[in-house]
Amino acid sequence: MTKEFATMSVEKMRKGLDEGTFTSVELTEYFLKQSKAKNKDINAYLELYDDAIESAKKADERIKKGDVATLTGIPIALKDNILMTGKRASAGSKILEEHVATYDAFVVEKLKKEGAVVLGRTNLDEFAMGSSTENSAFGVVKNPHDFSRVAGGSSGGSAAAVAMGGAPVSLGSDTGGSIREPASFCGIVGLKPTYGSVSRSGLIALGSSLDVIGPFGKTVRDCELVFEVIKGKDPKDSTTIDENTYPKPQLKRKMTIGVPRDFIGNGVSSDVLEYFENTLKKLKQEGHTIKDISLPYMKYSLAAYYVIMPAEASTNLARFDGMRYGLSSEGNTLLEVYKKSRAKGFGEETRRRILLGTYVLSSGYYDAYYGRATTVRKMIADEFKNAFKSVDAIATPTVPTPAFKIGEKADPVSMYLADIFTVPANIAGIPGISLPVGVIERNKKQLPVGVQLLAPHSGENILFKLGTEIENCC
Amino acid sequence: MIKKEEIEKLAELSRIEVTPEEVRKLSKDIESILEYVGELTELAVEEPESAVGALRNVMREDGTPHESGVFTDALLEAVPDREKNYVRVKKILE
Repeated sequence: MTKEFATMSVEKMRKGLDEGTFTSVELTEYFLKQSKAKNKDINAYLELYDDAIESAKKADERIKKGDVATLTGIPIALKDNILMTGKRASAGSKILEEHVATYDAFVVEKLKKEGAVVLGRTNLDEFAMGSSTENSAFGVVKNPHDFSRVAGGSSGGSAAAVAMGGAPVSLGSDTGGSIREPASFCGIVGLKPTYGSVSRSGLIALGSSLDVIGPFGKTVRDCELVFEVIKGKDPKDSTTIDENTYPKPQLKRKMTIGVPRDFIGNGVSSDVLEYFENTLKKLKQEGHTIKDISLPYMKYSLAAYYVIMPAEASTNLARFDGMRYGLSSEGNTLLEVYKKSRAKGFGEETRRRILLGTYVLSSGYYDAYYGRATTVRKMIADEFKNAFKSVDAIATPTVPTPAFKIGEKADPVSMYLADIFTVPANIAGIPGISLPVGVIERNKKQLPVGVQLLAPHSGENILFKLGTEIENCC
Repeated sequence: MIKKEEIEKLAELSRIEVTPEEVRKLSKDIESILEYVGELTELAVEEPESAVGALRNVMREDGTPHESGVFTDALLEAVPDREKNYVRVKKILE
């Protein structure tokens, strides 16, 4: 029975739990054991919770009484920038290494209400800044398919946890691709929901106009089930939306999928492109129309992102000052305490982005950089709005290449380019999903490849429908 | 060219202490990032009318706050230098 847990869907787990075939304690013990065994090599988890068994016992009591919700008794892992009362939340940084959360994130409240079982906190790039987890203060997350390669980032730990069989589902956060890129590298499904559809209350902020929490799973359906639980309007996050904020896109039997050919090209590995074209063929076989579209502003998304995100990050990370929580260094003056605490507590990429953000927001440069970037942002958002008048979804590869080797991208800009296809969705606030479509061989290892679908605001229904068809096709 | 004085000023503004070696590296890195994002200035732009997401009013009525002191202990638990219910910091006024 336990061997089947490895490939079991959330729905089958729900059925098994409700019919009494197995218990949440058995499920939880299984995944804790798998996680402990695999984590030595992969470093997906920063901490596993032994008291998860207690939550599982409580869930089993609920199940016996018939008081069940979708995720009652289902184990789940959380990215370590999501707060859970009484548990450490480090954001992958030395400055918060011993920080204990004093309140639950909105999504954690929702999970607790369902009776889900939180297995532990997963590794990430420091403050979610990165595409590989090489920026984590606690070591890189290895790709379960090839330990010499990265799991992707910044939610590398949450992606690897699912891919290595250490959790059936997990939560990550996506600011520029931090769910979709590691999903692609690890060969699983990752959903970046519409901005505002999942509350950011209790998510340690990176870029407040870009961040959103989302699920990882082995299948589209698993991601859909988790999304339905965690989404919702939250009075503590005034950027949250409900079903009425955006008109829900129509689900047609036959849809039109746009491919921005002018944008996909240079830098995409030929075998990644091959899988991408195969996926388009599958969609055609299902009866949908593939249409070439032109999105001339889309390619400026990355540049706009690397102005807006550091700017917002420099503001959001100003609170880490050694005064009220986190690492605090000795100093003779107040200023020294600030400067030494932050120098000691922040890693290289974090310091780099804070300084960059400070630069683009400073007097004399504000209009040229930040002002310009926010204007370009609006132009990109408009371009998507117009495109969605003639197509229902847009398809691209998720990442130009499969997982790269640890240490390969030494230069910051070369690392940033990994996000070229994922960043536009955060710029415009639209939802995106990465689907595993196959594996390619590199150095005798089989590396996963992902395809990305984008939809209009609140168009997760389109992503789930098309995603499921790609999963089941041919 | 990003001069080292500019990096030092940015570090001062962001309240982060930097070593001379770090200044050198940061200067190089930030220079190359600024070069990349500089492509934004090449674009011919027209300020769009619309906002990026759905514009809506999210203001609420003033409400009663929670009971005083409910979260105090939990929050002060994390303070590096605490004295009763105060956060002790270095003096601000000379």
